[in-house]
Amino acid sequence: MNTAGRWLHSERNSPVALISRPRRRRNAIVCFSLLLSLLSLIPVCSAQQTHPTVFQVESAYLYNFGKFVKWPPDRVASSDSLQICVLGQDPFGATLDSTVAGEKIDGRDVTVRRLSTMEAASPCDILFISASDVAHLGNILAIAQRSGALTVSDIPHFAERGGTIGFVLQQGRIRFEVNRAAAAQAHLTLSSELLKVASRVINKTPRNGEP
Amino acid sequence: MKNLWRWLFPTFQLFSTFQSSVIVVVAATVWFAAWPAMASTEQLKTSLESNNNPVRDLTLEQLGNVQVTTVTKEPEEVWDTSAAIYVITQEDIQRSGATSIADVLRLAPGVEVGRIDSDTWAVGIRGSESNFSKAVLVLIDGRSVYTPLFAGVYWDVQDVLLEDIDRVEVIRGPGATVWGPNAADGVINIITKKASETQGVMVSVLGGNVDHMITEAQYGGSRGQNFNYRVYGKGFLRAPEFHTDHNNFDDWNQARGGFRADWDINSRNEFTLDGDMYGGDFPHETGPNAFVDSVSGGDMLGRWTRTMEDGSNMYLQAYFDRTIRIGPLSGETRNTIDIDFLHHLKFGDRQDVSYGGGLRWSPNRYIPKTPVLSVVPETNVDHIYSGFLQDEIHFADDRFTLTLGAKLQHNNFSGFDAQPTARGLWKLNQHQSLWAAVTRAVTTPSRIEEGIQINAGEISAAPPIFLVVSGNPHFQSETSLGYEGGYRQLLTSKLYVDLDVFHNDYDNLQSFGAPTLIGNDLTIFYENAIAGATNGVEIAPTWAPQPWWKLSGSYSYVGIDLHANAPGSDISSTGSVNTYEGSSPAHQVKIQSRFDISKRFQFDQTYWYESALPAQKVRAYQTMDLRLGWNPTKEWNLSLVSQNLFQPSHFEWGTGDPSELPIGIRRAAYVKLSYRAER
Repeated sequence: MNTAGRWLHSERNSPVALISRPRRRRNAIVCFSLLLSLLSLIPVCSAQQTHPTVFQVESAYLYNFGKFVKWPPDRVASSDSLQICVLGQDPFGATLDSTVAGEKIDGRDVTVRRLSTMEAASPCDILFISASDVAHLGNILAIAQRSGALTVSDIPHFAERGGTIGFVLQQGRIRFEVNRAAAAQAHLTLSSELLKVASRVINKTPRNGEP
Repeated sequence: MKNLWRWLFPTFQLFSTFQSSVIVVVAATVWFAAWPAMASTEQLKTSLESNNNPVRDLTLEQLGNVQVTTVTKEPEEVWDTSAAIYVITQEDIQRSGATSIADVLRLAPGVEVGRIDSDTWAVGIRGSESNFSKAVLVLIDGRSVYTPLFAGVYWDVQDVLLEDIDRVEVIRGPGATVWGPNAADGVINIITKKASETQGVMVSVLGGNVDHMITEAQYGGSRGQNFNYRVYGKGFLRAPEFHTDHNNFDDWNQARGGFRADWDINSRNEFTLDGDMYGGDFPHETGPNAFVDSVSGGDMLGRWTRTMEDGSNMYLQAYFDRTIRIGPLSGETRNTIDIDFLHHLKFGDRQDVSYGGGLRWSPNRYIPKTPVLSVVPETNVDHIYSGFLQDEIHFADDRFTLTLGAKLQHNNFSGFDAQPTARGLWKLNQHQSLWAAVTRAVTTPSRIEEGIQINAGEISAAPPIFLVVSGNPHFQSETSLGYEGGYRQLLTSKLYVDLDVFHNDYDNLQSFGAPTLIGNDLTIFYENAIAGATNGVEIAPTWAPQPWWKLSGSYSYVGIDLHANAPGSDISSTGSVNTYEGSSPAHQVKIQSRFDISKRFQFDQTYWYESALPAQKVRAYQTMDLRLGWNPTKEWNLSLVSQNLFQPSHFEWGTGDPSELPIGIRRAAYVKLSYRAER
């Protein structure tokens, strides 16, 4: 009692004086322990396998969409390659090329092309629209629809905004939403398997890119 | 070292000895058990970057189950903006456990929020924290919630279902020309989800020791493909905060309901209609006495948006807002009618031009209840007319953007005000950008500053002298000239950082004049005699070290240096050099950490440090909120939240009465159960 009283008296003006010294030390130990135990979780998880990147999964999806979407037969007959185009800032890099290298879908070679504008986009069968081009989305979708391309993107609410397939990140996994009306307007048939796996199927008339 | 310790832990009283021992033992066990040899991450990296995409041969369904490393991308909505903008997402809101809009704003860098008592907050941006929230423009879905009565926001009646918020855009610094008046220190734009995104049934019930009860129910439906709507109801009951004088006056309640309907007329035209109504009480304190006001109101907003084929768009918006606040000391009824128009078009190859204008009429009536307080004239029509023009010019293949704009406005208090701005944005490369801006902004006078009359009583009997605080019909707009700049960089695929600096020169800030004897009245007038500058910096990194762990946070510093150009009086929680300089925290640290423990469990922590507010008698404090969320099924969610964990209570802002201690904001906990079934 006397020691505590003397201590408090000498540090009267300090707010820390309201907490006795043994308690402060205890607080310090608790804090530090919590911090250490949090930090300890980091080495645990890097010891496990590293996960694939978003773009590896999306590249695999783009390749697979070619198998589960039907283009009009006269379009398929008139070209011997299935073209995947990336419009805008390319997030895939070599990943997309290596994913489709040497592959064929329905007897057609799968090729990848990069575009900066929609001018040369008419031969594109699958058009991935980069988020860098979100400002001109309405225009892009209108042109893509007329040329019969399957539009895919990771722009937020893409399928709502009139795109055909929009990637969404759900709890660390890449899923996709599908807009059937948009597919129909581009004369595309989506296989029932694709629709079954989609996390959301929208039937609305596309609103030409507006959020 | 000792001083650093004191700075870090001024009032840290957390656990008893027993609890502390348990924690140390558990922590030590976790630490030792989780210390395996670390695999070489380099080896794993190269194998993934080699020719084969490891997930190429998976089926569609399998692809949907692959855990990915999430890349922290340049957030698209901010990358092209030459302003200090921060977006609070719905996920940030949900995982913070906040139960009110003012508390949600705490998450943004540079935003200062102090809870005064259970139903009032002081909010500001970059050094303007005050119980009036004067120089910050707050919009909910395009409707301004600013009141010209005291030039600020009544935070107690600004409420939406927090689950319906799509995002909150916080722009620090003089609001870009396109926004409305009184955005000298920033703009807070609360945007709710479209009706098509809130379909089905949602019911949620929350109960706790301070938030006693919050009940929400919502239904969203549609008619055909292009018409979506939602209707909602909400009611809450909140307990008093901690009062050293045991005067627990601030328990309060409120109920509200509303709707939103969105109609896609065709692919180019869209129409939105939304409306709300609310009623409740508002207890407040003056000195030792507590009063309860009754508040009610409603609003209705309609907006027509049209998109043209070339990508240009325009909107026309009109809203009506009615507020009624009546209590034993004063009352006000106010109707606001606002019409806004904006057209955004492409001009040639490289220019984006926006222009528009708005009219706002606000007829209002002040209802005097005591001879002590009145506002002159009692009935008034406040109005603001404004027009703006902005040109965004793109150079060098969109690597440089120069924006020039000006807004001209006229209001009934202070006439014409011009607010020009010049901004530049330079995208150094794909992952780095730099911007700078100079802007002039004004804060228009309020009814109180122009016309209040407070008869504070007789201060001398012989001869009889009365103390009066009086509004000033010649009160001018406060002006500011802001110089700001920012830098954004995506450092690695997991780390993004946003750095901003600013210097604002202020003039004509509101002050109280020195007392002047006019007849028998010793009068203190509202004046514009304070000027000076604020400087500061904000740094806000976002880091995702693991796919299941996301960290975001900020450090901000504000230095306020003001002086008075004429002798004045220090009589209130605002309006003096002392209160301006001592009511904003010089340093703020905010950290939000989110763990996705498994597919169904989430554990989130939010931490704040705020440095002292000497003019408000508030010591520096730090505190933490924790949330544990459980989704047993897709439809059900159970969350346990504890708030203000570090102390039984702490002060955040003063009461405005210098003789009183601030009200303590209590440690709190609640349980929330919600059900959501989409159609």
